[in-house]
Amino acid sequence: MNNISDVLNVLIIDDEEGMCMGASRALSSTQVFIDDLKIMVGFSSKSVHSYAEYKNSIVNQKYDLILLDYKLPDGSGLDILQEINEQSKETLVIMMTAYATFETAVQATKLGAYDFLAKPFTPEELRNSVRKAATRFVLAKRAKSFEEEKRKIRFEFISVLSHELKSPINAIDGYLKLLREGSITPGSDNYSMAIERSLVRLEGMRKLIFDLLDMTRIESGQKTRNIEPIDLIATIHQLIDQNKDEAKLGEITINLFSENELKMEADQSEIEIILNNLINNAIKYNRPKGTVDITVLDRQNQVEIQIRDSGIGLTKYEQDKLFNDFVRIKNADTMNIQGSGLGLSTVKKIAALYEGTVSVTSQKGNGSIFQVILKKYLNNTICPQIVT
Amino acid sequence: MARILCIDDDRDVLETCKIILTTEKHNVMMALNGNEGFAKAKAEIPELILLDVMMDDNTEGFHTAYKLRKDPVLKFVPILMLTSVNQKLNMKCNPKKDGNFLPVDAFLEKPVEKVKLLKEVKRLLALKKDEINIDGN
Repeated sequence: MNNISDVLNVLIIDDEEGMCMGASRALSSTQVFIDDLKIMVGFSSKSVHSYAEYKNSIVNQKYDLILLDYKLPDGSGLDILQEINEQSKETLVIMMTAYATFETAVQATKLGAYDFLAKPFTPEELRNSVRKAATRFVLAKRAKSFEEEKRKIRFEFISVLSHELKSPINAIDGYLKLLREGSITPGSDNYSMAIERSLVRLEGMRKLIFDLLDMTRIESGQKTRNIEPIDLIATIHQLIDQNKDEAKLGEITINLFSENELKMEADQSEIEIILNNLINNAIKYNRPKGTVDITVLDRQNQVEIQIRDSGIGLTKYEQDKLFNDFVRIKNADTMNIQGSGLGLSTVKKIAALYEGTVSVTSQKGNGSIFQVILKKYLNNTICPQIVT
Repeated sequence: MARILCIDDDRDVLETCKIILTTEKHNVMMALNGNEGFAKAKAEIPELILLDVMMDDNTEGFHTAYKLRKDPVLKFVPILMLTSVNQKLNMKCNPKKDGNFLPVDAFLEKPVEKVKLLKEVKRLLALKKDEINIDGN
């Protein structure tokens, strides 16, 4: 296992040259496997022998670990310890001292030392201490970058969200001002268009807010999940019924191919969000007089739902980004269709709660097939069908 | 009266611009994304282009502007860029700050206001070939 994916910079501060060389040698042959991250960490070290040299060494270089002698010719290790902790919360310090008393250990710990080695120590004792410190350092660094990543994603989400909310406001604002100043006159084609479009944009905004609430509820885990036996087929019938007015507008036929009943354990409202989004999309992005075929396949401990439409279809590029937040496919075909761009990303997030997946196969102009696979029984509940 | 191409992924911004520009008898063409806009520009050679920044990608408008300026004919067509300043928090380029580095001739903030739009359109249509900001200076 020589694949070192991270090298930590170690600074050895000790006035005894032999100590520095010994520690440096021990470190050069040390590698630490961080189990949680499955990565191997190695070390690169540098030695300094006094407080003054230490000050010079940190001008252009940041150290991850510091092995620090208690007593230096021109100062105390404790002073350096204090300085390090004022400057960087990340650097970990291992104190080394020949005057190992209980008091000095306590004092060093109070000042922020991570560990304490009493001289003389064996290379193995040094390695053990360094291993612990390295693991802690790497994990803390990962946690921090993960936090930063999360903050960044959140910031981007909010900025896109604000754009998505501003666009309809701008649109309606534009129409209202033209109406006010008489550029659009009552009775004209533009007049009914402006009013219709304003209402459509308001509806889109309302939908965005609802979708946003669905999504945040799922993401925050705040919503109490009510997992109970439900009949998937009955749920689908009910959703087809809910969408029938919209289907009628486009003269779209919805067919369901399934058994009469299919039991699974799930939160009814979550399953409704998934299927309603997919059925509604299949209607919205269809062609006039098109069809929506819903097929439900019972696969022992999984259920597979296929929703096939005869609609406008998606290019490969569109398919690849379809499940991301706020993605809306904008072209002449979709110009008049309202959507928040959050529906499918929410579907994907919910499917994950059922250890499931959602995917799409499609061809531009030739319809799309959305496939959802969900686990029927969660939390290690044993599937009754395989109990003998 | 001029031929003006509006490129924006928001249909209602297009409609609003069209209504405003039609009051001055301009002939308005519309496109919903950068590629469609570029193709229409190639085919129709408009006298002015209104261009949105944040379409499918956050910087689609900028890319379209650069593309237009590389075309031997279209590079002399003035571009009025439609922006919504706070809207673009995560965009690489802040039009307020970096405005003079983009190859466009003017910026107009959304929501589009009739008086301001018509004033800018009039000014830009009067620009001579050598006054067009081709290199983004």
